[in-house]
Amino acid sequence: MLGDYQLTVLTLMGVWMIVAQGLNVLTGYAGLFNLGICMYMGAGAYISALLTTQYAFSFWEALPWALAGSGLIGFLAGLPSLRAREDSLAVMSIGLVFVFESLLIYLPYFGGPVGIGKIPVPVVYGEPVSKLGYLFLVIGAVVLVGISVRCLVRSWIGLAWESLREDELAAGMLGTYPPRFKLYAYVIGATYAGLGGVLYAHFINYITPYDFGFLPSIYVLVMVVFGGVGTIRGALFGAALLTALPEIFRFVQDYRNLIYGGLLVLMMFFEPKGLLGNDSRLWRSVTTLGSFFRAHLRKTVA
Amino acid sequence: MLSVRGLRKQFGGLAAIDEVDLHIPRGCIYGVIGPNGAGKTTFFNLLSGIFSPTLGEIRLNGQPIQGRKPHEIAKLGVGRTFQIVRPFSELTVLQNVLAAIGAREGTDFLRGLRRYDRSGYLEAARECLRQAGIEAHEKELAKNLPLGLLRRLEIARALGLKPRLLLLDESFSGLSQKEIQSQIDLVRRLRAQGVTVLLIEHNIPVATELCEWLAVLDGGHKIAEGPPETVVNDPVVIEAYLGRSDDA
Amino acid sequence: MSTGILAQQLVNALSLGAVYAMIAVGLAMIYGVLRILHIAHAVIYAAGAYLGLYFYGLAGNFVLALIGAMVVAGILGGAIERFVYRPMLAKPRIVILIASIGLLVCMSDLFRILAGPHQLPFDVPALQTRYGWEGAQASGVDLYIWIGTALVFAALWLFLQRTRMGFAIRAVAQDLETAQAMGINANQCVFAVFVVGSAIAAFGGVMVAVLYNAVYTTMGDMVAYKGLALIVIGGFGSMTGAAIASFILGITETIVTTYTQIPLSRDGIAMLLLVLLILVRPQGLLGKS
Repeated sequence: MLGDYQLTVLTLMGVWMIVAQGLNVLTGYAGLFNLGICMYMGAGAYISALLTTQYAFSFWEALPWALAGSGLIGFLAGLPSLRAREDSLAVMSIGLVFVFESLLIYLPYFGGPVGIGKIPVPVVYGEPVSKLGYLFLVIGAVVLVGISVRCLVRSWIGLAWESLREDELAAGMLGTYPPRFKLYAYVIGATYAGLGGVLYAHFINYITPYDFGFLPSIYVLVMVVFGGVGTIRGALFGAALLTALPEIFRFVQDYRNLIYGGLLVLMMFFEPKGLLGNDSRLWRSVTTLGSFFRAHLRKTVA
Repeated sequence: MLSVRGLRKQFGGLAAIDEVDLHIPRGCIYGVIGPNGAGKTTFFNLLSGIFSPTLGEIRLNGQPIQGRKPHEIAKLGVGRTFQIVRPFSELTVLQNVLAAIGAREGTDFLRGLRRYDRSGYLEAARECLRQAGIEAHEKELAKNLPLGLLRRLEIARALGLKPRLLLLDESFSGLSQKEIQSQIDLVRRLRAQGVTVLLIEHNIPVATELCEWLAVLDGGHKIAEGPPETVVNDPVVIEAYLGRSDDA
Repeated sequence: MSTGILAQQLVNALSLGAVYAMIAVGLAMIYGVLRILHIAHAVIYAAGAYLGLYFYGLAGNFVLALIGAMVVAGILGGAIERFVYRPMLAKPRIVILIASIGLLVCMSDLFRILAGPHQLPFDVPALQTRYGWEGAQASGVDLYIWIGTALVFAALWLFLQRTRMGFAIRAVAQDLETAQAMGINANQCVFAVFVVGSAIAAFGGVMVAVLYNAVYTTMGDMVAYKGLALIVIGGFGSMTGAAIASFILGITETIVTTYTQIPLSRDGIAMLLLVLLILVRPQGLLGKS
């Protein structure tokens, strides 16, 4: 029913949805502008790849280490960013992702520019997982991530993030200690991205440093911005659409940067909050339609 | 409740606050007035931890708080509003107040993971909104509110801290007569509940009506203090105001 | 280490620093008046190189090509300000930043589409003569860079300090609203800043292209990021700071790459240095906290 090709596209959509949620947490909710999210994706991917290819870990054994590792790198990258204000933050995140990519290219331990290949497919009950099985795994991860982000957003931590995003000084005056919550955002956002990286690595079975540099990070930014900054649905929608787009319209692949770049600019003109952002025309029509239907239903039921 | 001794804040060569001593008793409504540039906002910034003093000490119920960070001072029960309102624009009115409650609730990571839309917290937040008189607007986004309501939101938010001391920074400016009256009633209600109120005010009639005690700052010095009627008629004070072209 | 090699490194470092300064000073000016990180500046730099190559092919004269590139790039930069940034000024600053990134990504691809993905040579025989002595040689390109940079900065200084427009620009950089209240046309000033900054960037682009005999679509990328980091380190709107930081980077990058064994590319080392510098002094060398 689902051919190999469709399975691949769907699986990749899931992977990018997870990474996009990571960026969403960091930039959308906590307001920490980040142009290098794929750095954390790469951390997860490389840790898992190394453990499974060099040290005979299984996928499942390597997973917690990869997640912890990307969270740790998020923490370490977040520490210096605490002192940076908005613009310095953007520049610093670019610098960090570059240094990260550079390290991966130049240290032979990480396989150099050729990267790491022959990354094993996860094994469940002795059998390597099929493509369909892997898709289910990824879907499960997407759901888990979605639920956990929702919980976070509804929690005190999520509220603290949003208050920090809106006005850091005012939030501080209310007793919210900014560094603490910013670090939470870095660690959690990085861990999500790392999870995406792990799932990416064991699906494509081959990773290079260039998969996790500045340009991929911008693609994720486009996804989040296009879909809806600071909303869960936005990250999901943006990731799904922008992963599928080059597949649906072949020409998009050849002109990918042109189109995505142009898309960013257009979005900033017309709908800076994203297509499904809280104030967007599309979302407002959806919610108005929704309440209209609900009122209608109530009338018919009554 | 609050005692300030020998407070001095230097910016480069300029002493914005110079040798200020103040004692604010508990349960009082205390006003700080003075012409423009007298250092009133700097004073508040020192009290709320945005600046740390060059010299001197500030004690809250005997505990020294000078130089502490803003969030620590907030946790000690000092709430503060800003002259230029700083609402959380994309959040609702209710969420704005909940953010203040959150600072008390989400003290560690595990506690921070709990949902904030539980009825207990919502009620507490609504209570703050009620006290400030803006409960009808709880679902509105802060960015859509007019100034008068935003000022009350500032106060409601500060109330979320369950403050013992409330610092009101020019919260009567830009309000209509009606709004000023409701704000005065609000401050009186707060005092009735045991909150000590320290306010900076440019509007002398409001300050004299509301405050039990006034201190006057000019050029960083305290030039007078006492009950409103005395202070307002003090020739030193009058000269400070008239000596510069002031629009008080 | 013989003094010869050190001197040669100094020559290289100076040229590198000068080119960085071309980019960074333009970025600092733009930040000064608009308070935005004009990431798309990289594209102007690369456009300059492509334009220079194109005009050189047409005219056969390097100076004409250089001037042509600077003029067209200036117009391009001005167009970006007028048609992309200006309509977005009322929105939160992050919106312009994202739009700038979009421009960077989009227009880099445009080069690929228009001029092909391959690296093109930019050979100017007239500039290949080498001067100096064994071990410390500067080519004609280096001289062009140094003299050109000095001229450009001198002209810029005169412009800002001695002309009315320059005064207006400085006023706008200090406080846009007050400047407008004084009757200054802020829009015109901002536009002028973009045109001038872009022309300078194009100069840098052409010189680098000739120096390394290479024009390629992504040549602006690294320079863009370094430029941004340089203005942060230099103290945001401070042009002097940006220039100083540029030369420091040029010298440090050259020395560290030549004399140490850090396992990073030249650019990786540069980025690492910049990140460290930002960490150590977030407000920049000449900035206020």
